[in-house]
Amino acid sequence: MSVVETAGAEDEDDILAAEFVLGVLPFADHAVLERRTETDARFAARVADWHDRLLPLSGDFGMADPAPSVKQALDARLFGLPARRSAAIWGSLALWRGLAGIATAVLLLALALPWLRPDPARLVAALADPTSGVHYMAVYDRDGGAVGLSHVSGTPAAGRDFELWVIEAGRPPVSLGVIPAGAPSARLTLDQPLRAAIRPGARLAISLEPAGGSPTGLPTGDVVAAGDLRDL
Amino acid sequence: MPEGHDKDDISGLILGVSLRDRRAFDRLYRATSAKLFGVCLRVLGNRPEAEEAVQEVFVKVWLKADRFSVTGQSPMSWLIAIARNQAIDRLRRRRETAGNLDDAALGMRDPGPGPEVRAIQAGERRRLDGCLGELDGDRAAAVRGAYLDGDSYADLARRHDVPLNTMRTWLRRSLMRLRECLDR
Repeated sequence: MSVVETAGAEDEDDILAAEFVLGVLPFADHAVLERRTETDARFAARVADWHDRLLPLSGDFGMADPAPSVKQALDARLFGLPARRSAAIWGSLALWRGLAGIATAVLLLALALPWLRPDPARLVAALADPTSGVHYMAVYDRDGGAVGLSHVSGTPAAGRDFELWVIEAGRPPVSLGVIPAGAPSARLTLDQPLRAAIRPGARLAISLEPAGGSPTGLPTGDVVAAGDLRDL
Repeated sequence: MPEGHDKDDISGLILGVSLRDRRAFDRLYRATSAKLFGVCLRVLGNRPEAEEAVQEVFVKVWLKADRFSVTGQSPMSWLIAIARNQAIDRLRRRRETAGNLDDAALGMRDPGPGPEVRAIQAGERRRLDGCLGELDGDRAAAVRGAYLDGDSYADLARRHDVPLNTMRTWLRRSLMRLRECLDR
């Protein structure tokens, strides 16, 4: 009996996940599956399982120290340290990352001061995208049922607005509101039914919408930043 | 590689990186760069290219750290997946097989007791080896070749001297058997 020939759709997906993890497929097919891991949570879970199943083989990979210049080049690229001047695009990335780092530190400090213990009433997410340069920090306050947003970088094009969404695996995005343009911080109070969706692991995303927000109730423009909620 | 890192340490460092903590990033680099460079070196077979690849790997780690927690993978599994992907992508782009370079010339060290080794129960390795052992000899070699050396179906078909579709049928069947055995 051939296992493959009797495979159902579920098994087919699982074999594809295994082939993707092994990396045996031609480049174009591999790229299609890579995109699928980003949009199909079930498939991504299959991929993760195969990575874990085959992980014991990684014991056969040796260890070797990369030259110190690798870390220097990496720091220069990510953080703009003076090791060597890199391309202009990295300069701007370094700038927003620097800003993001400062904002994160300030935010975390502000949050940590009153509550030195882990705070079950709060969730935090860093919403960022290196391509768009949009970066917000989001804190959800369970007691108040509100999302606080701290603007780090990035603004919508003239005549358009950023809208905040929450995405739970396997469900359509739900709008949490339009982010007031240009404000350094904003607070979006959520209606009671929305609050249930704000959980650790849920994803917050910001999309670019027509002024006033999406006319359809679903994102109509590109997602310009996203990040997952986690316990603080 | 510094001793004393376990799974939770590495997870914590990745979480720190997701919060843009540079010290966490530096520590993660110190703890895991030798292993991830080893992955790139094995797949790519030369230091200059492996050094470029491992740099890309850590850029991805910095950019994607916030996705780690939703994958449900163990931390070394996640990191090694990024390194293998990066190295195999490069290998594919290069479109030529790496020569047989000896370990000394590459500066390879023996796999020491790094976090991945401690994180992986020796039993899990025995179990996987046992299940690979249940496959026909050359099929197990194909799985290993793909995982460790980045062989594609085309490479494997050439090596085992069979048509590409035959190779694919063999390997897919072997992967199903492997899963059944491991999940048993």
